[in-house]
Amino acid sequence: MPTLQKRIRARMLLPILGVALAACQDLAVINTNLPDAERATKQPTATESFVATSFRTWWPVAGHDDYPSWAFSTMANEITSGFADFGQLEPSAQPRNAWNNSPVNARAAVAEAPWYGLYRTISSVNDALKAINGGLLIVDSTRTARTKSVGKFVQGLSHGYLGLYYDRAFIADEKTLLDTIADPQFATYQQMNAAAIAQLDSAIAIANRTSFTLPVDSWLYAALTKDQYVRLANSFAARLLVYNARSRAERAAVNWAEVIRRIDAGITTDYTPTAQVDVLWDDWKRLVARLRTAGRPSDYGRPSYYLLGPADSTNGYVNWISTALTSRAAFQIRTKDRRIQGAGGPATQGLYVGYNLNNIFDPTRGTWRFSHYAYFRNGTGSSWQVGTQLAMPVTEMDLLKAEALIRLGRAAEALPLINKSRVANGQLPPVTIAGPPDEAGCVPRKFNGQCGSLWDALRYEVGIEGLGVNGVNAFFNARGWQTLPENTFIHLPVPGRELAVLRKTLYTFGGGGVGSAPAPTPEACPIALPRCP
Amino acid sequence: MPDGGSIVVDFKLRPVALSLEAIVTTGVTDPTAGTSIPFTVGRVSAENLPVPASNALEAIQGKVAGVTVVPSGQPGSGTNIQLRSPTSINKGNSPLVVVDGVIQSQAFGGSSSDLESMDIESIEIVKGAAAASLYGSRASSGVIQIRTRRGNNIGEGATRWTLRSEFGSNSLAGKIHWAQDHYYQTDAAGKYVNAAGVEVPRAQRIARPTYQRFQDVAYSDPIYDQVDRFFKPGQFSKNSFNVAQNSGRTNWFLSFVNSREDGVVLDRGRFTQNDIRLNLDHQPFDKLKIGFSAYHSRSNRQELFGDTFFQLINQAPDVDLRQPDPDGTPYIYQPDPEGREANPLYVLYTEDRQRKRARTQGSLETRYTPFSWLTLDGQVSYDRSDRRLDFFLDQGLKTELNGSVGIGNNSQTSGTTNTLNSSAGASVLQRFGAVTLRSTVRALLERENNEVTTAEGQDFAVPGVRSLDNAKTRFVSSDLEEIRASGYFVTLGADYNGRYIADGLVRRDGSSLFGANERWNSYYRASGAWRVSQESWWMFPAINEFKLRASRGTAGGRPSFNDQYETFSFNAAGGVLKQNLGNKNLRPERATETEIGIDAIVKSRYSLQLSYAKNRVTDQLIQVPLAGFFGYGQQWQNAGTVEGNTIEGTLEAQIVKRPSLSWRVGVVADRSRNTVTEFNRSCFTTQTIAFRCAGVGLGEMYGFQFLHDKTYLPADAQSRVNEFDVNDEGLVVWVGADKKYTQGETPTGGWGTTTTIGTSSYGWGLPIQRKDSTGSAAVIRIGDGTPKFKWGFTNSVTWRNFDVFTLIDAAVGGDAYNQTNQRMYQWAKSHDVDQAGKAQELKKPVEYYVSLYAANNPTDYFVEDAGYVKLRELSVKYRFGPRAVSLLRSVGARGAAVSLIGRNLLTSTKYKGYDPEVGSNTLTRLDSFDYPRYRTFTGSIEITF
Repeated sequence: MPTLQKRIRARMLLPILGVALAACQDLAVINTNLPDAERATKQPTATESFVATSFRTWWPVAGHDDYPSWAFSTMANEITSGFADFGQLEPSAQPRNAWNNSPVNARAAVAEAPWYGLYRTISSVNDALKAINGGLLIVDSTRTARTKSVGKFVQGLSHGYLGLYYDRAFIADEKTLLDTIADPQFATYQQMNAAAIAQLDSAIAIANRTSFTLPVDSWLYAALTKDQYVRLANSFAARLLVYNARSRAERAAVNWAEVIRRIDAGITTDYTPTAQVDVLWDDWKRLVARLRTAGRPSDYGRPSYYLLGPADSTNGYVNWISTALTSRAAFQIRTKDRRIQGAGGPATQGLYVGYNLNNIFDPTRGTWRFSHYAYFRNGTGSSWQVGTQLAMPVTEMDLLKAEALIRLGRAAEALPLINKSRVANGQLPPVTIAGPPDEAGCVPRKFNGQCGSLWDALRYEVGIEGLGVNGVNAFFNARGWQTLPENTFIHLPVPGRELAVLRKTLYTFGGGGVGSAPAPTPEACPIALPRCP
Repeated sequence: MPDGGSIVVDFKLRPVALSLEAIVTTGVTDPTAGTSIPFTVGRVSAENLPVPASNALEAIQGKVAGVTVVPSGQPGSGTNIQLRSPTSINKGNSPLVVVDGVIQSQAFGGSSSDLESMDIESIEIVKGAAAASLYGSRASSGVIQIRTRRGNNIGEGATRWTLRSEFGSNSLAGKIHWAQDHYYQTDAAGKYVNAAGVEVPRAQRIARPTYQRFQDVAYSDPIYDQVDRFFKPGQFSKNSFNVAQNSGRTNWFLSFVNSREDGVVLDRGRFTQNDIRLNLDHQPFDKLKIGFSAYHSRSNRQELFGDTFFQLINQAPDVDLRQPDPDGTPYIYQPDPEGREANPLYVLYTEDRQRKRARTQGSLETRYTPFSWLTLDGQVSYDRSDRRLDFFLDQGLKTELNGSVGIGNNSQTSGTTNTLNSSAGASVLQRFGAVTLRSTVRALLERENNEVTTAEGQDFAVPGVRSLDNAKTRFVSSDLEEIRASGYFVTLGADYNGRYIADGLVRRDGSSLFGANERWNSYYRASGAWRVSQESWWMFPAINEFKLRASRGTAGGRPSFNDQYETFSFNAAGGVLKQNLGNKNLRPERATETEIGIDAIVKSRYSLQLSYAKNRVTDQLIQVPLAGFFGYGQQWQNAGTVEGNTIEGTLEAQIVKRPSLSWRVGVVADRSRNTVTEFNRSCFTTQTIAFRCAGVGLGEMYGFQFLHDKTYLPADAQSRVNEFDVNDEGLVVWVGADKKYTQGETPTGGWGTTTTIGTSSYGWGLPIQRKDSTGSAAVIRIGDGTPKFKWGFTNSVTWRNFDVFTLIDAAVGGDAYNQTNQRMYQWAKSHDVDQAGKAQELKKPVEYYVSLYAANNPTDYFVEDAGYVKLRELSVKYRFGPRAVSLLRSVGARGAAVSLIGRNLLTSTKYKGYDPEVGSNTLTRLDSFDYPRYRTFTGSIEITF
């Protein structure tokens, strides 16, 4: 037994000693789940991927996902919704209230999602551009130039959209030394716009010095030649030039000649990036087209009567618009516009929308939000997950140019641009300088039921052709045309969360205070035209 | 005694009647009598556990002062426990749990749900850093140690077999109520009509005019109690068999438990578990003891989908959830032509979500005492968890995303956690006259690996095939975490004649979870006690124990795995995006607790413990957001301090102790308070109602407030204060000049009209949110979830063959935020919105309640007093007498008993929800569509062989 004890004692001491020594283990553990900066940038192609995947982080907050699309589209009376999930209810409430910029606001993502989404995009491309400027070669000079050009392109788009959404923002390019910034100096939205266009021009200049192509499955998710890419950059520049305006006066002051130049150098075919499941798709379109229960298409948001109503040949819209908000009820439109109504009568489906009598929204959210028109332009099934997504139609550029021509006193040149879609898609008679033909069922009509002007026809065409393309263009147009409901905020403040981080004072816009839209005068024309007030 | 003579001494062993006297093993290096401990250790023994808890850790609720438990809802869930005041702003406040020497991993959700409560012998609770320093950098929230039965509890040479079967049901303890009326236009027969008075289908019904949109119109169609339609009592059973044997140098205990708990949701949510436990002690020779414990459990649970209870509250009262769907499913997908959420019964039926878990634990402890003054010991424990979650939704079924023709989805998630803890040490115990010295030196080693792999698929090639190969689109993800930690500590304790007790400890901990520049951190404890009653001059013989004690100690709270690292996240396109700015200087949270108290025992039958503990936790781990242009979203920093204090008391009384009657009662009570005293980042809201900011308590609720006082109207409205009135709910409302809130039912100038005053718009009669100086809705304190105090009362009576045990516990005060009811205001589903029976002038249109819904923002309106008194446990046991047992002897039985058992039986509360115990953690009392707490009523039979 004593021998056994000795053996046990010896064997027991060994593991005790072992544990004592093992307690000196190496405590450095590598995170194998996510890379750090060193691993993320180790390979030149990894740096390239910063740019190659940057468009997809810009895409959702540029009107193709829930924020800020639902708030902006409903504020512009383009899509109407009785739901509140994505901030569409409170900003579009009547009368309009100031934007609640508190970080506590349950809908704070309306302001936060674009802000942080765009800056994350900028940060990624800046890292790649910095590395390239530091001498990094991504396989070869062509590939390096492509990365640099698209990097500047996305940098420009991101700064541009910051300028569209916010009253001020911070310009952070590849030369900005972020670590040295204690108190960031914000640039005005006009300065943001200028910087963005300069960045787009830089992208164009780099591209024009070389030749490359872009594949369909990444980068801009469309197979583009270098020339097509340059055209796309010019079209985006045109967008930024026009949509940056906050008021009728600022829209009038846009450099319209430059807009025409950009559009002429811009896209000649629709820009339609290809959706990929869980990579890039248009959730805005999906929700507008959502069908969950048979018989209730477009059950989350519907085209608004403000948008469709001017096409009505009955007195339905005239009565609706003159009725108090709380007493308004949905009605059936009769129209010649085949985008709204099929050839078989008012209950048949048009090219973009169709009649559906079933109630979708709750009356407590306001019966004035009701619409008996469902959105069918993008189908109702799962097609949103695959296939091409209309992101920038040539029609948008045509109509921007038409506006430019009208404003420059060349209205006659604008007519064919307006009539292209009006005739082809709407099957409506062409407009003239006087507006649509003065006949029963003219489209569009004014609030008093009379036939509209050329300006009314242009605005109507922009609205119906822009329907569902993205969730923000309608707002940008409305603030420049002075068609936003009174006291709507004309742009977002820097998000409350960001102000808190920077220890800056909280502020906001709208509701009758600073940054509120004036009372709308939609039928007022920028120049003297027939049927204009 | 003369040399070679003998002496006869009669020893009479007295069972320890009071917990205060019991031997304590937690927080100390060797077993010590409770009366000699210089800090508080709570204890629950088997005799206070006659009602096996659904979750082993919940067994201490109401029985130990300073313990807060938020019980789990669905069967098979983990539970939430907090000891004294909270210690962490962002990280968990759950204590470290040790079962038979196995340190339980908490790397995965619901870790405690794997533990079976049947075999518990005792639970010891060390509540704060003043006592828990021994456990170093993961003990800032205290330690709970569970010991299960072993073979040494029965007489030497005996073998004991026990068979127990319990059977009963789960049922909903409380209900929520729907509005029973609507606000749509109807004809005299109650049929829906349009504006022209023409009868229309339900899908095309129109609301009454705004000024009369009162929800007081009776449905002409049948209406249903949707709570009754959705919930259904479920089956509960727990069957166990154990055998114990004690043969002197070797004893062992083997048990097997099979349990099933259906819960209360109709035909879904069942939890089943089987577990086996073996405890073995062996003493090969006098100086060596070896203890071995092993446990294995396997469980299955039907999971519910995340929106189950949210979808339920959105169902209209006039739809039948149990009607069949045209696609053959027994429950219709969308019973309401205006429905915004699907019928949860359809989703539960069609989605197959199964959780499978296995837990394997083992520990080996050896103690070798070569000399009476020296003990060498070593422990190693292993804890392995295997988890699997399978989801399958077949092609062709209705879904929210894909309407009537679902494309098919499946996923498989596998998780494995392996934890190895080991330690080795040496203890010295030596007497020097009246002084006894104890010292321990120990080294510790910890390894934990946590792996999770998920594979998902969608868009099936063919229906009915669960394989991921069937999915046309597939996604995979994985996560691997490795944690290494080491530690060393040395303790030194001394007592003088058992009268003056001093104890000190120094521990140094290193962990891979700490930043590279802060790998090692130190902790200490210093404590002392004076057993005044041991003094020769003590003149209160009835008070046979009176001790003053004080302790101060430190302990840590570790960062999570990812916190220290600089990380980029992957996007599905194959790129990376900046995520977290790393921090090499990240330290563990550091709790410093000071505890003082007295322990007293009167006449060996009554004990009293009073303690005051003050806790200060610095280096709070806080996710600090960064300015957008940095690209990195946030960085974890040590940037805050939380301070708290607790007053607690425990009274235990053995009132009667006779052979035929024993009556024992226990009372516990505590009051805790806490405040964030330092917060070096911008304030923010989280978890809907919580607000993180300096000067704010962790249980406080912040949100928007409706005006109750006209003085808080915006400055631009003060000159028109005569246009505002205060309604019968005490809310300030705009009604127009000199009007009353009762005058709204008029086509013009009443309900439905609006005005703008300054920069604010007001709806007639509608509640008004208070604004701050910027014009935004003001964020202010609207409630506090922390109760004023809590108490628990246990009563245990044994009379002849009957044992009766009751536990009543209460939270006095303390608010809960009823977001479930708030959401029911959104679409006028709540019973509060129903206007039937109200005086006409007091009726309010649905828009009034939609205003109160406030777009789901937190507001003071939905803060409710959630104080309660509960009959939480009841057990009535009858032990068969000798005559009845003699009948069983033919099959070898030695005894038998039957019991009636109730859990969560009765609740007295003002709270409107299913149950006042709400929330998914101990701090944020948010009622947000959680699985409701339910009651269980069972009967059991136990036979001993």
